[in-house]
Parts: sequence; C-alpha cells; structure tokens
Amino acid sequence: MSLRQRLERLAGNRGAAGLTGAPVPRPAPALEALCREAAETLGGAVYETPHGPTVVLASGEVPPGGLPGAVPALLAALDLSTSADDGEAGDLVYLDVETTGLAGGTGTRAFVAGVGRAGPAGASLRQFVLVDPAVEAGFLWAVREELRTAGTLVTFNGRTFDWPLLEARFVLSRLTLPRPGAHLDLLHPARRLWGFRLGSCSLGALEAQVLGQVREDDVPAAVIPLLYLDFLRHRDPGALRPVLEHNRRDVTALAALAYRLERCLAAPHLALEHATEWLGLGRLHWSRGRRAEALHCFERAVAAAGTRREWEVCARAAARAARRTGHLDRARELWWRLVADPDPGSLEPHVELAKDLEHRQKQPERARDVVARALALARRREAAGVAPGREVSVAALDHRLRRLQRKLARRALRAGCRLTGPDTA
Amino acid sequence: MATGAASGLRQVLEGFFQAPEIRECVTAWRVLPPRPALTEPFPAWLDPRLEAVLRRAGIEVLYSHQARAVEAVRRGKNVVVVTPTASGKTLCYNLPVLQTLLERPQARALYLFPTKALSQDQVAELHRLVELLEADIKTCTYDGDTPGPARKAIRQAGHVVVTNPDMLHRAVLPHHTKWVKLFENLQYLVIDEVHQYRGVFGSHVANVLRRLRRVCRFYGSDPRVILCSATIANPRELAEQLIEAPVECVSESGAPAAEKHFIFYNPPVINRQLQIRRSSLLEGTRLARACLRQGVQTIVFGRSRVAVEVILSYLREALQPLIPGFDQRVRGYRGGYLPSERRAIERGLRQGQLLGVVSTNALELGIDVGQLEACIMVGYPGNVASTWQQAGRAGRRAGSSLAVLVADSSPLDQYIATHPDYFFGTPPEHAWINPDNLLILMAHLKCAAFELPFVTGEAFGRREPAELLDYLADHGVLHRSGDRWHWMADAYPAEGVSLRSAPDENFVVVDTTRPKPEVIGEVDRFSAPMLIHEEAIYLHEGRQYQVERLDWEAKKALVKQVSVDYYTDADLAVSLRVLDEFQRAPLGSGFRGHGEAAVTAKTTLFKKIKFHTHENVGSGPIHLPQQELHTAATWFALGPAETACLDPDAVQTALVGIGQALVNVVPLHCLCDRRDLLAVTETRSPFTGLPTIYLADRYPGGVGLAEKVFSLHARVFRAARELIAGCRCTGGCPSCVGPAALMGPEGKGRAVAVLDALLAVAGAAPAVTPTRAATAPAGQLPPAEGLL
Repeated sequence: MSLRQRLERLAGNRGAAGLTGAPVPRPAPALEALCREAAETLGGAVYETPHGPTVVLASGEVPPGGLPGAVPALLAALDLSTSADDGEAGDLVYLDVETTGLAGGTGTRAFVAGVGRAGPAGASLRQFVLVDPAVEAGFLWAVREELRTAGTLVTFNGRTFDWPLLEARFVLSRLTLPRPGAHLDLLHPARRLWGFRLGSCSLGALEAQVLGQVREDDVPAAVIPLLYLDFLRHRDPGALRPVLEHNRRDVTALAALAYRLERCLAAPHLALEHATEWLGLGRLHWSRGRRAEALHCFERAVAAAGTRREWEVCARAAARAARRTGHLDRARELWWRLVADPDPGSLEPHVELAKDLEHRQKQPERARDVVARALALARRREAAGVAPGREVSVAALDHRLRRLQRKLARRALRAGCRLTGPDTA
Repeated sequence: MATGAASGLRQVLEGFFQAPEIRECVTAWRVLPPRPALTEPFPAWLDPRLEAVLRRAGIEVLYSHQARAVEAVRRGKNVVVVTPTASGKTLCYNLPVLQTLLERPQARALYLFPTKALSQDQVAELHRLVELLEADIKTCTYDGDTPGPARKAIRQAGHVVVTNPDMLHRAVLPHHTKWVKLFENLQYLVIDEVHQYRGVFGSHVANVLRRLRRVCRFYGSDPRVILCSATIANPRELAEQLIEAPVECVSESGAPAAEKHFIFYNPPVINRQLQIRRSSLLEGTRLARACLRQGVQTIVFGRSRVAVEVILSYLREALQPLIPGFDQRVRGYRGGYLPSERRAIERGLRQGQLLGVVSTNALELGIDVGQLEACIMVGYPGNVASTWQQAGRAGRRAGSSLAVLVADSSPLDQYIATHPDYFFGTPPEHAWINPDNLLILMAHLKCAAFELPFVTGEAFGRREPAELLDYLADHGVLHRSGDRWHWMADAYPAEGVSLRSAPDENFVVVDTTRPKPEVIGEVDRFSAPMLIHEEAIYLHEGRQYQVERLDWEAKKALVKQVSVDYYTDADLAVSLRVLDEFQRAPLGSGFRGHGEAAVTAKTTLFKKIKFHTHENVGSGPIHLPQQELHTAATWFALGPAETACLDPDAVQTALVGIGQALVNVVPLHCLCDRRDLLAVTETRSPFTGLPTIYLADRYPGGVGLAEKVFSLHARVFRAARELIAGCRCTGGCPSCVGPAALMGPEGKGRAVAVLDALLAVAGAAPAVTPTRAATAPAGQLPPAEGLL
C-alpha cells in the first residue's frame, strides 16, 4: 500500500479518485514570463525591483468625486493629526489588500494590494499583484515604495488585519516595513456612528446602508482565496480580474467612507440623520475627553429619537453624561422620565436615581420606592425567563432594598415613631 | 508540631506492624535508608552576583547531579537530567539560563511544561531568584490565561518565556514573526517532565519541536536543550527521539533523601475460588483512616475520578464524627474541579490547614503542595515513574515518611504486588513515541508549511517529506513553485490539531437540580460513553448525580443530584479487520505480524454496582455512536503445533485468557496504560486462517505501541506467563486470564500451556522472579531510631 493510499484511508476519504498516483510533473515556472503574461492579460506593466519583478496595474478609474485628499476633521476627532512633520506628511494613502485567507498568522499572504492616493495630478489607484509566491519579495518591495510617502494610511480594519499581515510578510521576506506617520482605521469611527443601527459593520454593510451603493457582480469575499489558488494552478491571469475589480471597489468604498465620515465630523448638523448617529458621535467625543461636544451630541440624539427604544438608549447616555459633568437637574429629569417607563430596556436608571435620592437628595423613602419598583420588574422578568438587564441583578436590587428598609427602620426608631407601609409613589 | 506529627507517623507504622490482619497483607516492607548529599562547590565561571543570590536563597553548594548538568550545558551539550522529586532539578536549568542572561542580556530562553499549573509554580520559583538578583530579567508565563496587552510586551521583552507545548503549537509558532526577538536570540530550550511526552502526546510534541527548530533556523538561532525526566528505562533515548539530536544523560542524584517506608499491600482474598480480593478502595480507605486519625498529613491517590469520589465519601462516613470540620480539612482534587477550587486546595496543603487530600494523578506532577507525611496509592498508578512521583509527595526533604501501594485485583496490580523486585530494581519501562505516525506527521507538516515554505531537499525529522508535500499540493493545501512549497489554503492548520487525545472535545456536565443550571465538571470525549451515558451515576465532590440526558452533538450531559447505593460501570465491545500487513515473522507453526487494522468499538451496556458489596444490581443498554478507528496492530496467529495441547473447544478460552493477560502485562515493558491497547481474539481469523490474538493501538494510525509489542513479543509472553502462573487462584480469576466462571475451570491451565508452547518457539527472554513470601521485617520495627 502506498503512502498516499494509507493517507487517504487514515483520512477516511477512500473514494478520492484522480488524486492518487504520482503527482503531475510541472514545468518550473519562468517567473519573468509569468509576470509578462499577467501584465499583458490584466493590462498592467512589469515593474523591476531589486528583489525581482512584480506586476503593477495603474488604474485611472477612480470614483467621480475622486479620493478625498484630506480629512482634517476626522483626523482631529481621532487625535491623529500629523501636523508637525515634513511637507508630505499630510498625504492620505488608501490601502486595501486581498489575501489567501482570513485566519492570519504566517501562512496567510496578501496577493493583491490596492493603493489609492489623491495627488496634485488627481486621484490614482495602483494595484500590485503577486504573480507567484516565489516573487513575493519584489511584490512587497514595490508596495513599500508606494506606501513610503504616506503621511496617513487609511484602511478599513487595517489595524488588526491588513497591517499586521503585511508586517509578517515583510519579516518572512527579511525586509522591513516602516510605520506610516499615522494610521486611520475607518472601522472604529464607522462602528461608533453606525454600529448601533446596522449591527454588522462590514464594509459591504456600510456601503449598502450608509453610502447607498450596491455592488453588482461582485465576487464574494470567501471565493477570493479560491480564485487565487485556481490562478496559481492553471496560470490563467484572467481568473484574477474579478478580484482586482473587487479590490478597486474596496479602495473606492474606503475613500467614500472616509469622505462621508469627514462630513459627519465637520458638519454633523448637516450630515447626521439618525438619533443613533448622534449618540455614536457623542460617545466618540466622550471617549476622547471632549465632554462639552459629547453632551451636545447626546442632547441632539435625545431630541432626534424616533422610537421609544431609541429614545430610551439616548436618554440613558445623556443622563449618564449629565450626571458625570455635574448637570444633576438634567440627569434627574431624564431619570424620572426613564423610570416612568412601564417596560424599560434597562434598570440602570432606577439604580442611579435611587443612589441620587438616597445620598444627594437625602430622600431614602423615595429611593426605596424606586428600588422596590425595579426589583418587582426584575423579578417579573426573571420569572418569564428574561435576563433582568445587563447592569443590574435581582440579588443586587434585593440587597439594596433591604439596606434601605433597614436604614428607614432605624431612622423610624430613632424618631420614636412607627414605620408605616411603603408609599405607593 | 513537627515532633508531634512524627510521632503520629511512628504510631501509624507501629500500628500497621502490630496488626496481624495488616501484616498478612503486606507483600513488601522496604525501608529506603536516608541518603547523604553529594555536593560540589559552585563552578568557577559562576557570576558572583548569581552566586551571592544562591547563597541568600540558602543554596551553598551544588548537588553532584546539578554540577554535572550545568557543566555539560556550559560545554554546549544538550542534557537530560533524571532525578527523583524534590532533588533541586530546576536549578539544573535556572542556573545556566540566569548565568547566560547576566552575560548576554539579549539572550532568550523558552521553558516548556506539560501543564499550566506546573508552569505557574516553576515561574514563581524563577521569579524569586530573579528578584533577589535585582537584574533586569523578565520571566513571563505565556498561556491561555495571559491577557491580551501583556502578550505584546512578553513577545517583545520576555527573557524567559514559560509556556506549554499546546500554546507553542497554536499561538507562538504560527505567529513567529511577532516573536522575532525571542527566536533570533533563543539560547536555551528547557523541557521539563519529559517522561510525560510519550505516546500520542509525545509524538505530537516531537513534531512541534521539529517546527520550533525550523523557525529557529530561519532566524539563525540554535538553542541548547535542557530536559528533565522522572525515572524511566530510557530517558536518553526518549530525549533524543524528542529533540532528534544527541543528548547527554545525567542520572545519579546527589540530593539527600530522608528515610522512607515503602509498603506493598495486597488486600486479603475474600473468595479463594475466584481469587477475588477485598476492594482496594475499602482497604486503602482503612489505611488512610489510620493515618488521618493520628493527625498525619496524608495524600490518597485514586486511579480515576470515580475512585477519588468513592474514597472521599467512605472517609467522610468514617471520620466525620472524629475529625472536627472534616469537610474543610479533607478534600477531593481532580481534573473536573474548577481552577480556583484547585488553587485553594494546593494552598491549604502547603500551609497545613488541610489534613488530607484525595486526588487523581492530577496532583502527581510537580505542583507544589509542600511536604506531606504519608501517601496511600489506591491501585498501582500504572507505571514505575508515576508511582515514584506519587510516593515522592510524602516526605520531600527531611523526616521519615510513608508510602503505601494498595493493589487491586487487576492483573497488573497483582503482578506488581507479587514481584516487588520488578518495582525496586532497575526501571524496566521504556517510553516510546512515533513522531512519524502518518496522521500526526501530516498534521504538523501542514502547520510547518504554514509557518515557513518548504524547500526541496529540506528534511522534516528523519525523512524528506517531498512525497507528502506533493500530496498536499495536489489537494490545494500547498502550492509548489520552483523549489518551494507554499501554504495556500484559507485555513489556520494548528487550530484543527490537538496535541492531546482530544481536550477540545470535552463534554460538560451540567447540574440541573436547581432552577439555575450549573456546570460542575468536564469529561473527555473518549470517556464520555463510559462515564456520562444516560442513567450513569456521575460523582462530584462526593455527591451523586444521575445523567438524565446526554446530548452527543452539543457535548453536554444534563444531570440531577440523587442518592443511591450503587455506582455504574460501562462495557466496551470491539471488533477488528486487518487492512495491510507490514511485517511477518514465523512463530512456531504459526506466525506473528504487524500492520494496519480497522477497529470498531461500541459501548453497549452498563452495570449498576452496589457500594461496599460490589455486587451487580442491574444493567441497561447504552445507545451511542459506534467509533471506528484505523490504527496499527500486532497479531499472533497460533499454528497447529502450539495449540495441539488443546481440544478445539478450548481454543477460544485460551485465546481470550492470553489476550487479557498480554494487555495486562504490556505496561510492564512499555510506558503506557493498559487502555492504550485493545485485545481482540478470533478462533479462526478470516485474515490469518488461524486462531489469532490481535493487539491494537487505541490511537488512529498507531503511535508505535503495537509495533513495540511485535518486537518485544518474547518478553511480553514471558511476563504474561509469570502473571498467570504466579496467580494463586485455582481456575482463573480477573487478575490473570479472567474469571473462572467465564473461562471454565481449565482456563488458566490452557493459557499457560499455549504460552509455554509459544515461549519454546519465541526464544529466551529475561525473567523476573516472583516474590511469593512477604518481605516484611521480622520481629521488631527496624528503623525506630530513624523515626524518633
């Protein structure tokens, strides 16, 4: 029994006909010829680097509006401004790579890198294609040259995916990849603004729901690694066309998203439409310590809320921010309205209000009533099999209620009078 | 307190010695004399700062084995250090590593421990030395519990990175580009508890080390390897198989040892005809009770989780009225407990609040629980190395200690109990691995290709993997370009490869007694059909739970607390088909062979066994998926000459008896568990055409065990014959060929007759003389002065 047969049997795929027998001998690929052929078929050029040839496609086709050359408000909002550097420091370079998988690690490689930039001569997009793993060093070298002048690198999820992946490839090819001046990963601000509304924050979802663009005839992301493997096996560069088109659209979408985010940050009153967008913007400001801006956004969110649920979420955020900035009257106003809801999404306002009533307003009776109501709600939910809420447990509420009751009883004793039953507020 | 405890132990020993019903059962009472320390001064090259720190830590000289080990490492050798528990082996690697780090601060070391708990303890010890050194040396544990932000810092700056093979395999190697600093400067690789890396796990780890070496080569480093092992027959061979490089062996310990009483205890026979002995659980409990009542800090080892729980409940029953706060002072400890519970128990033992612990072998590894005085092993732990490790839990440094091995009725236990010289003589067990098991090799070849492309002519271990790489390329996993194979699949291969049998495949046990379900334990996939089939009684912390539903797909068993007077035990049914024969050799008029086989196994039935009387009080079917296994097997086809002594009807019983005896004695020569092998017998095998006994590896593809048995067949036959002939039952019993009720009154004689015929044609093999008479000292308890 051959090694191959043993393997197949151990693997439990006995009927794999056509896969047994000696491997088909392949001619050693002439790399130069491969590059030339790919360049010709795809309409690109062979680019000689000190580490061998690679294929580059220069595309004039950029979106009608071009690629935004600057996004100052967005950079400022994310504390990414690259002001003090040399003349080219502000250049925006858009990067998106296509890879042989999503798993990460040293075995995943980038085989198409699309780099878009807005230069003085207009917007341009260059796509680098890895024609064979054997010429990876040349491919990487060319990509590095293209990124060299980037003041700010713009990606979507590039911080966790594209950039570390490229870094690993560079180490494996014994090359270095200098860090760009700044790295603007659009995923994070996009998630702030639209995550609540969309749930999923993939580039595709953002494109469809926020930018209002639907891709037709686009190759599904999961198929891309297979297309590349197919190209490597059959050497038909045409197989890569859909991937290159997908990458071009990704870079375009990236730019459009950057533009859209810039507008949202530069002129939110004009650009934002939904309460949850205001809410997200408020949170973004809050997380970076811009409290006044955040308060303003939260209030706009409360005012713009369309549904009860939306209002509740926005009001909670606004109340929390108001309390933490010392606007207690506003916080109380919102809490009382939130607590009045017969079926609230969260019991957090009850607890916050109770704390405020007990400790700041010195009204433990009212605090007790609020907690008693919250506990009743939580118990009802628990009985119905619904979790009472993320922040608050039945046990914690129960504990708080007992403590308040003890406090009131002690006070009643001290006052020398008997405690009457709980008021019905 | 110390003297009080010592006299407690002395009273226990006197008590055992004076009680005739105990002495009757003692088959060996050895007093291992105290051994003085053999020391050497610190080497001249030792950095004065390090020397000062060692002195401050109370280390004034090196033991001879430490001195030899560090000198060999200094000369650039790979070293394996074989020493008993608590002999200061960690210094054998910490000293060279710290010395190097003082000389060359950019150097790096990687420590591998088989378990997480162990690495935590060892890193704490290293920490203490580093703190005293006041040098900028960062020692970090990198495992599944390491928080994200810390990981980045460790990758950049950790001088000594402590991890386990699983983490290396899954998280470090596939991301080696993030560990450039470590791999470029890796000077030492430390592998502790090497004897654990055997069989399936060892075969995997050998491949992980191949991958590690490839990555090191890429970054231009070539680390020295320092290994530590418990006592086995072939530490050097195992070390060399693991790292595939020459290794120097340091085996004579210079550490001092205190006096130790080692008792072999064989419970009394309660049914002479069936040779059934009183339950080892009951006897072990009795001995443990005697220790605990005298306030002697005691560890009791049970062989299974069930045993641990049963012993704990027996002890509770007997001692709760006598020992105040029993539940706080005597605890259980095993794999299924939550980590926080386990840490608390370890602490309790170290600090002395706990008087006793009943544990599975989870506590056998070097987890620091301080010095206990007595160790009761209920059932032979399965091999000599583990037995010494468990026994080493008692009396780690000074003062007398006691270790008792309580044999059960199983054949291996009976062999050990009646052949103490086998145990106290030279270590007879070989550890073996098969890194070239095709499935294991293939799995790691994928991982290796993911990490770095393969180049034509590059070897992976002992062979050039070109054929396998082409196979992977044909399946679209790799892409061959010129002289290289590149990883090209959309996958992360390490994720699909578990180094242990199947730890990801654990089943959770969920207690649904109260409205809020609670996870109380975990069971591995292999044990699931036996332990948590529906209606099984699952024991946890001495409480009984009945399995109400087993969701095979969701890997979940729902249990409810119950109170019944029985436990459950499941049967396994097995059949085997030969696929290919690799090798055949004559065996008298028959032959022996080894090759590949398909085994089907199914759990079909469970029995309810009553506590205390251990009688069968009911049974039920188990409906769970059949498991199919392609594996390696060895077969013995018996020719007419060797079975001539039997009439045809008797062949069946002889085969079953020999098969059972063989499985039972293989662990005497190969470091394995009897469960690692399956015996299947056929009176007329369709493959051999003869009466045949098959022994098959339980792991897919085989890890070399069956093959080892093929080559060691004469020794194994000899041991099986000794086992059966040495057994004092009349017509066969569960300890040798199986119960006479099943075998017929002639079963034993038939098996011996066939084995004699086989031995006559198999050639001579070294014999181990059985010891029939107990070796208990006569008259007075001899080591009295040592005790006082």
